[in-house]
Amino acid sequence: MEKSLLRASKEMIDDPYAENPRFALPDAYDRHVDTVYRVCYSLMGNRQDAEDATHSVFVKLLESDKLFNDSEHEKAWLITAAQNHCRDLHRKWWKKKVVDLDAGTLKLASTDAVRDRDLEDYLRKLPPTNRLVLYLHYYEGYKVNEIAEMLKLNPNTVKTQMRTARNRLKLEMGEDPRE
Amino acid sequence: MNREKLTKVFDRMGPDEAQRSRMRQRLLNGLQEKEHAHGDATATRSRRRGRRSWIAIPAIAIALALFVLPGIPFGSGETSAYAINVKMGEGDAVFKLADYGDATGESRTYVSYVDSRPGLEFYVEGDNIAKIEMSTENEYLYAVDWTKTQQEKYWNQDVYQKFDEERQVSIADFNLLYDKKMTMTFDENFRDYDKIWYRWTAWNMHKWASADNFSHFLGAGQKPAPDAEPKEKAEMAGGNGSGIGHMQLEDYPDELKKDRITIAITDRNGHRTTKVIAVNVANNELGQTVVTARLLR
Repeated sequence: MEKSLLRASKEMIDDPYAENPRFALPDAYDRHVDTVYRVCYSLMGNRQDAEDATHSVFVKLLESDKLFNDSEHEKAWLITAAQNHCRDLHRKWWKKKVVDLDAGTLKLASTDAVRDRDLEDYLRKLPPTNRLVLYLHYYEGYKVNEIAEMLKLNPNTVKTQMRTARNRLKLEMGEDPRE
Repeated sequence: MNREKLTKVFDRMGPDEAQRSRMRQRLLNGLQEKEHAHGDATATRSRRRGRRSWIAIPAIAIALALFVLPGIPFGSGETSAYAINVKMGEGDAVFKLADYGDATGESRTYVSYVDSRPGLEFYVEGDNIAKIEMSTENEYLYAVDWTKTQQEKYWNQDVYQKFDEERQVSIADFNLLYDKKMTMTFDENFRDYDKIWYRWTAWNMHKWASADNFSHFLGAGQKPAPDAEPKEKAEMAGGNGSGIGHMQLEDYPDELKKDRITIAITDRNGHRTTKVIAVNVANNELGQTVVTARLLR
C-alpha cells in the first residue's frame, strides 16, 4: 500500500517519512500533483492561477490534521480542498483577467491537435463547475455519487450538470445533443 | 462528443515538467524556510516536538491587467442589492461592474478585452427580482437560459436553427433569436438569476464587415501556400495574436461603434432600478477588435 502523508498506524512511529513533512510532502505531491493541478485548471481557467492554487492546496494538506486510509482517500480530500480553495478565489474582488498564453502553445505537430483545440475552446466556455464535473467523471473515472460527495452536491445536481455540459459541448461542436 | 478526444484535452491540461519542478521546489523552499525559522535544519523523529505549523507563502503575485475596482452593488436602499457580472476572456474570468462615480469618488470602472467576434456576456446577481428588462440602441441582445423558464428560443436552438440534411449543416436564422428588447419575469420561488446569461452581439457590425465576401475583415482573400506547414496555416487564421480575422472599423460610422444596454430591474415590491452598460468596439494597434464595457449611472 502506498504511503499516505499522515498515518495513524503505530508501525510508522519509527519511520522518518511518517514524522518529517520534508519527506512525506514530496511523496504526496508526486502522487497527486497532476490531479490537483487539473482540478484547479478546470476551475480557474488559466495555468498561472492553477499553479498558485495547486501550491496552496498542498500547503493545506501539510497543515491538515486529517488522517487518510490510503492514497485514494488522500486524493479525494485533495480534490475537495482544491475545489473549495478555487471557489474562494473566485469570490475575491481582485479576480483578475489573465490571458492564458498557453492557449496558443498547443503543439501543432498534428492536425488532431488543431482540431482538439476547438474542443478545448468549447470546454473553456463552460461554467467552471461543469468543467470540473466532466473532468472528474471522464478523466478520473469517478461515479456520480462519488463526485457528489467530494463536491458536496446533490447527486441529481451532478447529473444535471454533466448532462448540461455534454449537451452544450455537442451543440458547440455542431452535433445533435439528443444523440 | 468523442470521449477519447475529451480525455486527450484533459490530459493536456496537466502541468508540464517545468511546472511540476517549479511547484515542487516552491513547496520544498517553503518547508526549508520554516525549518530555518525554528532554528532546526534537520528533522527530528521525536513526537514530543509536536506538529510544526506551516506559514503559507502568499500565492498571489500577478499584476492586474485591467483597472478593476471592487464591485459595488447597486439598488435602492429599500431593495436588495444587485450586481452585474461580465464574463470575458479565454479563462471566462468574471468581473463585477462597479458603479460609475461611486460613493468613494473613485474614477469609473470598465472592463476591456479582445474578441474577433465582438460581444459581451453578463449575468445578473441578486434576490427578490420580479422582472428584468433590457434594451439596446444599435446592436442586439439574446440570452442563454439554463433554467428553461423564459422564452423557448433562449433554451431550445430548434426554434431558430434548422438542420439542412442535404448540406449536413445547421443553419440559424438569427432574426428569430436576436432582439433589441427583452423581458425576463420570475416567480417568487425563482433563485437562479445567475444561470441566465445575457449576450450582447454586434450583429449589424458583423453583417457590414461580412458584405462583399468579408471585405472588412483583415486578411480576407489571403490563402496559405499549398505546402504551408500547419503552424503557418494557424498563424494565417489568426493564431498568433495578430488582427487577422478581425473586423477593420475605420470605415464604420463612429456612432455605431458604441451602444448602450439599458437594464431595468424590478423587485417584488415594485421598486425599479435602472442601469446602463456603455459598450464600445474599436481596433487596437494590432488591428484586433477590442470590446470595452462600463457601467454608467
